[in-house]
Amino acid sequence: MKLNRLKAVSENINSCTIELFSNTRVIITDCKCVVDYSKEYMVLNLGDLNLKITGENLVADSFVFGQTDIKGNIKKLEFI
Amino acid sequence: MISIFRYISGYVVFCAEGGFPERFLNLCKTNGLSLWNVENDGVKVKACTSAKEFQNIEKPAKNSGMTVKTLENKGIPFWAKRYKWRCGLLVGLAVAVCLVWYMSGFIWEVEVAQEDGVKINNFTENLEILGVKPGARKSKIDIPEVQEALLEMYPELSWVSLNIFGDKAKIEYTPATPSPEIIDTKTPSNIVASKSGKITLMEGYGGTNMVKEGGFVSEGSLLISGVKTNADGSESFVRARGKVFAETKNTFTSECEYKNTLKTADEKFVRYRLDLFGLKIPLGFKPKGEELSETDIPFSVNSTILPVGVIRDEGIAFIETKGEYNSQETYMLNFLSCIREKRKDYKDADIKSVKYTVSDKKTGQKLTMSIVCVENIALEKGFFVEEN
Repeated sequence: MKLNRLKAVSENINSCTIELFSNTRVIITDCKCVVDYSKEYMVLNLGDLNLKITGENLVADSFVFGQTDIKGNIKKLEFI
Repeated sequence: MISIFRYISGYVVFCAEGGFPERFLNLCKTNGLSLWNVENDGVKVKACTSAKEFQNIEKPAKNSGMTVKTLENKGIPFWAKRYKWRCGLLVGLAVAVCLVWYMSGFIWEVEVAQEDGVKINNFTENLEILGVKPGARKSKIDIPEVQEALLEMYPELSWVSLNIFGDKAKIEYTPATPSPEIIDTKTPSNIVASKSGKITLMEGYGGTNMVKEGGFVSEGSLLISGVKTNADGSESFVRARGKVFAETKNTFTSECEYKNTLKTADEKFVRYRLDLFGLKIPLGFKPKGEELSETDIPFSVNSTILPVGVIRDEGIAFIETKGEYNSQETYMLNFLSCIREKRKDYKDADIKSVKYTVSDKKTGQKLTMSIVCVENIALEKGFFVEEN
C-alpha cells in the first residue's frame, strides 16, 4: 500500500501543469520541447502526450527552461 | 517591472531564419537561454534575449541550421557604450547636482516685511551682525535666538518673526504701541526762565503762576512755583509743569577767513563690482576720490532676487588748492555756518525777524546774526524740601 502511494506521488511530481487564463494566455510548466510552432498553432511535447494549441497570433511570451508562457487568441487545446 | 530590469541589464532583439526553428527553440531552452516575445511567421523566428545570453546563441543556431541576425540592441549598457566618449556630460551633470544641493544650504535673499511703512533704523545692518545675511549657512542660524536678540535691540517692537523659506529669509515685525508716559507729580520743582524776554503766553498745568502775560522776565526768573498754598493756609509742594512762551532776542556771530584750502571737484567716477554669492569682485581699479554712493543692483527672475548682481560705486575726485575767497563767498560761508549751527535750537520757535551785519577785517569777515522769535522759555528746576 505504501509503495503504491509513493509511486502515485512520484507520478504527480513528474507531470507538467497547464494554467489557462481565459482564452488569451496559457502557462505550461515542465514542457519538454517544441514539436511544431507557427502563429496559428503550436505543438508542445509534455512527455507522454503532445499538447496542440490552436489559435491566432500566438506568441511565446516567455520561453525559459521549465516554463513556457504563450499569449494570443487561443481557440483550442488538444492532447494528441 | 520585469521590462525595467530587462532594460537596465540590456537585451537584444534578433531574428533567426533558415534551418529548423523548433529545434532552435528547444536547443535554446536546453542550454538555459531565456527567450521572450517569440514570434514565428513561418519564414523566420523573431525573439528577444538578454545581452549576456545572446553571446551564447551561436551554438544552438549552428546546431539547428539557423542564421541569427541582430535587429536591435536595447538597454542602458548599449546606450553607455555609445556615449562612452562623452563621459564629461555625466561628470558635469553630477557636479551640477552637487553644486545645487550645496548651494541650497545657504540663504541668498533677506526680505524685511515692513508694516504700514514703519521703518526701523539700521535693521539690515543689525541682522547681518546676528548672522542673517545673504551667503549665511542656514544650519548656523538659531531662529529663536535671533528673534530674542532683535526684540532686545529694538524695544519699540512688540513681535518679531524670522522664517526661512528655501533660500529666502523673511523677517516680519510689529511695532509696539507705546505706553503712555506716567507724569511725576510728586517730585517738587519750579519752572524758571531759560532766557530773558517778554511773556506772550502762559500755559500752567501744575503749581502757581508767578508772572503774567505781557510782563518782562530775565533769565532765571521764577515763572511757575512748585509751592502751592492750600485753602486752609498750609503749603504743599508739587511739581510745577507748564509752557511759557516769550519773545526773545538772540545774537550769534560767525567768523571766516579769506585764505582757505579750497576743495574743487575734479571729475566724477563710476566703478562696478560683481557680487557673486557674497563675493565682491571689482571690475577695475579703485580710483582716488571720495565715494558718495554704493548702489546694489541684484539680478532677478520674476520676483525672485538672485544671489548674483552688480554693485555700482559713484564718487567724485577732489583737488585741494590753497586759495582765497572773495567777500561774497566769505559772507555765504559765514551765513551757512550760522544756519547749520542754530537751526536745531530754533526748529520749534516762531521766528519774527532776522537781521545780519557784516564787518570786514584784515584777514577775514565777521557776521553777526540777530534773531527775534517767540519760543518756550520754561525750564524745570527741582528743589529740595527738608522735613522737620
